[in-house]
Amino acid sequence: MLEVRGLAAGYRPGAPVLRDVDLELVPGRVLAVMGRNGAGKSTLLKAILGLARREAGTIRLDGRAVERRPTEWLARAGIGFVPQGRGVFPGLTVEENLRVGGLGHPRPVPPAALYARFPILAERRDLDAASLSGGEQRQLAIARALAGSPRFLLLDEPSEGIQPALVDELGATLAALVAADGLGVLLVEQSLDLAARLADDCLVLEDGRVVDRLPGPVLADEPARIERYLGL
Amino acid sequence: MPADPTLLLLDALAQALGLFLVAAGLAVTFGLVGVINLAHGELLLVGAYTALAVDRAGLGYWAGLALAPLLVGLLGLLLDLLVIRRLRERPLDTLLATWAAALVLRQTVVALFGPASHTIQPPIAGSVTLLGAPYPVHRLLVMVLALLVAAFLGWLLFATRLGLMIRGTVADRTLAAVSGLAVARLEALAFAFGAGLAGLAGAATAPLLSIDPQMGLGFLLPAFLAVLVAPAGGPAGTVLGAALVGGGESLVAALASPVLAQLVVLAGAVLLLRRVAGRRVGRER
Repeated sequence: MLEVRGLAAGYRPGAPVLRDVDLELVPGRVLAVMGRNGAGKSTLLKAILGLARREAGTIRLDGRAVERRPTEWLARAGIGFVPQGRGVFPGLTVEENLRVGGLGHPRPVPPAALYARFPILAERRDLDAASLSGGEQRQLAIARALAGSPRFLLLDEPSEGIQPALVDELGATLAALVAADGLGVLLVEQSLDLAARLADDCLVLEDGRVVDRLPGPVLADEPARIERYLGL
Repeated sequence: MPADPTLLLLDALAQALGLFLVAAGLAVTFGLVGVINLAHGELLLVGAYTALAVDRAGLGYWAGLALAPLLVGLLGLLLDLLVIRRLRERPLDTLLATWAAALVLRQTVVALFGPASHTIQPPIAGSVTLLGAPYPVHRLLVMVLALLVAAFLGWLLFATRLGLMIRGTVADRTLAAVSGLAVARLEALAFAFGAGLAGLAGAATAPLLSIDPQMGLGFLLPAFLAVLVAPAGGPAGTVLGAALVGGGESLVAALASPVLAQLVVLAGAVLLLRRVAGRRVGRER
């Protein structure tokens, strides 16, 4: 389990973007983090990985305190990350991206196994990752993160900038990963549709604080309860 | 001006490959690690003086050639651990710090060896006939060494696991870290390797030059130019960059005048500044 308690973090000393955030990420479940732009959603993921300055709080991975560990250690310990934006290594081919994703890990997933899950990447394997379409780059970014056999996957707005049909496809892929591999997913998302489809639980951030916790089905059954936080 | 066009071309080729040997280390530290290392010329200087000291100690030139990259590589590793790593996100501070390191290295050399110039005899004296023209053996050795370094760098970067890690880190160091790569260790290794190449270049070219505490300065600008005008990434790009700068300078100097050749380098320096500024703006966007 990945457990965060009392996390405060930001980018400048004494100016935390996040305050007193608690969450638990459990294998085989999806925890969505929702909120308006600037609420601190991306900072939360970066703080867990040591990419934002942690000022207070604890982060435990399977009961072990890891908040002082460097980013690469956390990645090797099983926390995968798909950042906002393209999330691929430009200038490297698709296959090289997948190999780099596994190089630092004790149990890398071979590219062939990843191609089975993302067939379009097999067709593009020798192309520069930067030349792929937005949807293909998102698939590659997720496949690259999976190459390290993570137990937890932190996804930052995976649906951003891709077509609705591809968002559906992405949702199906992620749902299969959670169901088949028991992956625990922390999903930062603006798209209510994708979050409603995947989330078991939802945490709402406002001004860097957790202001509500909702069961996942509420996002689909009572969207008004989340829409008021998103200003929709 | 050499009358023989064969000699002219051989000189241009020797100049280009010699410059590549110097620029290869810079291409690693600047192109891969992103550090503008103003101490690169002085790392070359330490390589040359290592060859001199080992030769004077009676161990011969080849022992110095082997020791110089190891010693200077170690020096580069220390420089990274003590200075570069702490200033990674502060390029202007890195510039000043490496300039300071250059001054310390140069003055240390003056303290140890004095300000006067020295020479090393080439290990294989004499000339061979090449394309009908006599050519010094050591110059040819430096050219062959440069080609071997280019081939080794190509193999290292494009055919090994370490090379893939380095290219991944160059493409996106944050993404490399979240992919589990030990970015700081890779960058330290790459910086030390680049420094080691400077040491190798210094020791290799030492028998062709007058060895004095200022010799590193003369290499810095053309080497930076060679890296920056490189039309492509990787060692092949640096070879082409060195051919443009070193070969071009040699030909202009022989066909027109050395002064004009220096003006060409100066014009290149202006281009360099514009390109560095452009890259910085690009990164800040």
